[in-house]
Amino acid sequence: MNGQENRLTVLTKKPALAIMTACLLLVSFIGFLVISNFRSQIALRESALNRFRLDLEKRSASLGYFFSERKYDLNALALSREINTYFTNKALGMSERYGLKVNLFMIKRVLDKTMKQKKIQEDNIYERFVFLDSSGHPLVDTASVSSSYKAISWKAIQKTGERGPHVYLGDENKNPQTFVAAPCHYKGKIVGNVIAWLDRETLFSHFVKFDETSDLSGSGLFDDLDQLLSPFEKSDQHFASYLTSERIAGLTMTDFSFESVLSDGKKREMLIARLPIHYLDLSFVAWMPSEQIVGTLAPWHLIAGMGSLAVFVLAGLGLIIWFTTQNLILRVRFDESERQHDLLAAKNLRLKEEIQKRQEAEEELKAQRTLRMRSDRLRSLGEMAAGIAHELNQPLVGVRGFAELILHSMDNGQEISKDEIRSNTGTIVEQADRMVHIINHVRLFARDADSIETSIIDLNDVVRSGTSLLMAQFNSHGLLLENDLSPHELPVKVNPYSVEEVIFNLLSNARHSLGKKKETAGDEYIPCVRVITRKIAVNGRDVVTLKIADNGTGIPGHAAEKIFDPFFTTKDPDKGTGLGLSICKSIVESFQGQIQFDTAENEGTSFEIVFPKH
Amino acid sequence: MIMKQTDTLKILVVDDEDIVRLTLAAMIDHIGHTAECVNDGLAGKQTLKNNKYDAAFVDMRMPGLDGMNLLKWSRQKRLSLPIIIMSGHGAEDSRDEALQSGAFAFLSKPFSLVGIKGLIEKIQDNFNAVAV
Repeated sequence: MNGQENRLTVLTKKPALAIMTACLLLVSFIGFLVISNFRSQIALRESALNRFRLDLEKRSASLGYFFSERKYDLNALALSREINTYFTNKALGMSERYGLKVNLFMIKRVLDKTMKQKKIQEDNIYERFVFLDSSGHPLVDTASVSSSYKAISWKAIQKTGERGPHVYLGDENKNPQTFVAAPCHYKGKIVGNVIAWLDRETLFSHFVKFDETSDLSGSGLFDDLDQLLSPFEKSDQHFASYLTSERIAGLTMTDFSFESVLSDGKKREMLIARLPIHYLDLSFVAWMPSEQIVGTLAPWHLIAGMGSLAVFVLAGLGLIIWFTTQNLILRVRFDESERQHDLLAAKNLRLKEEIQKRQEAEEELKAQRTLRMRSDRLRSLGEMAAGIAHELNQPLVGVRGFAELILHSMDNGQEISKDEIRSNTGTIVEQADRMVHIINHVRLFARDADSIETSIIDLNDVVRSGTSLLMAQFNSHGLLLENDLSPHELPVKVNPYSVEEVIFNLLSNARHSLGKKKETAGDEYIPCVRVITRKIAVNGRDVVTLKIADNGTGIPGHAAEKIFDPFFTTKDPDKGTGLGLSICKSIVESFQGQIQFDTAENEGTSFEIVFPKH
Repeated sequence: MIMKQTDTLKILVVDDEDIVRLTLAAMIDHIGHTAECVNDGLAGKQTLKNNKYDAAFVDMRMPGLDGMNLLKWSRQKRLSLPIIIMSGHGAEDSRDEALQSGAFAFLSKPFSLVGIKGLIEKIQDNFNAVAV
């Protein structure tokens, strides 16, 4: 039982454990993949961001350099020999008309030359140069039309110019112009200005604008007046309205800011960066959907995919485990039922064996009983020997007597009539037949008493035949055996020899009882046993009763209830087997009869047998 | 009482068995005596009371009054006739009992004609001896 359970546990645990382990390993592997993927994603994002930052820094540095260059250009122009000569000559009082005009012509040549020379790739850097005097009057202008410069605040130019060359970005909307101004000094005083308008397209397309542009990405310059200059970018309307000056001014310098912005009804993450341009009150501002730079930051779909894969795998493994368990349970149940079946089969076998043993025992008992019955019967026959002898001697008297009479007459020459001979021999044959009958009866009794063959017979005849052999025996012991037989015919369906045996048994018991009582009782005691047959009606049915009643010792109370038990006897071991009454009972019952008794101690016993009338 | 050897004896046979009575009567007749038969002890007793017999053959075992009791009764009544007790059992104790009770003889069944003849002769001798 224990072994079985252990086997069961092992069977259940082993694959389940392995599957669980495999499942856990797989899930942790998937988890590891997800995490490492996520980490690599983050690292990639980091590096992309860094690259973007570097790019922006490079751009801002480039812009810084660019503007420094421009300031340097302007400074160089302001300090150029031609301008210096002009102011020297002017101070010397050279007339404007001749000497100064030449100077101005020379300046214009220098400015033109510079404008033509300064290029980035094929694009001009400068759009226009103007040389102003201290009153703001343009002395030299590379452009022919001057009306478009009205809005320039000369005062502001001059003020800022005191500190050196200055870049002025201008108002994008109202006055879209970007210029660099450099003051001209003569003997410690600012005596004029050189102003150069930058070609905005060159500036923005080379230094500000991203190569890869979308509606959502863009870049621009942010000046100290909180103005954003981003002339080429066509930002998304939503984002444009979002990107206000205040918001840009609030951005931390040189850092990224991730903002969630609604665009086309979609929520998008925007990356906005503001970088200072060195030596200038300018910042470089760039914005871009973060997905464009770093891709989708968290690959949620991947994680979700991995997660759902893990779930599927788990569910699959769970299912496998479940199925395995179910299989195991089924198998265990099957084993169990098989075991039960085996057990049942073994039990059945044992039962069969027991039945066989019992049958054998019964057979043996039966054989023993038959043997005992035979021995009882032989004992009865022995006891009956005197009766048999008596019975045989009676006809023998006739046989011998009549034979002798004939013989004697013949020997003595006496005349015997034929009639006498016939009569005598007839008697002899008759008596011989009677003897044959007696002998046959004894033989049949010895042989057929346990036969089950039945015939319909008058119970009175059975009683007569049964008691006749015992009558002499009883008489010889001084015991009275009386038949009180019904005058009616009592047809019963029995084996007569079996019923005779019952009568023998009961009479034998009665004889013992009477003999025992006679030993102690007084002379007035007449030991008597009566055999009574009657036909009576019980519950409307005719039955035949046979009663054997003695006035002997009776059956003691302690024995009364056991008298029909096999091998129970109150007699000495050599006088009875104890089977008599049990055999009587089984014989009577085999003919649908019943046997019962009535006893009173020291007064007698009466056995009554009831057979159905045939 | 004067009797001669050649006189015919009148003998009573008491037996419940028909064949025994018949056979015995036939034998007695054959020998040349007269036999009368009754079939039980009580009838025998009655017959003996009313008639005179020279001898009686009585069966030992009979329903009602048996041979032994009839014998005892006859001895009590001081009847002088010889009573022969017959038995089919042939048991020795029965013979002793019968002879002690005063039976003239004990006759075992089956008996022979010679035996009966001898017995009757013995009875006649007995009578003659008494007479002389």
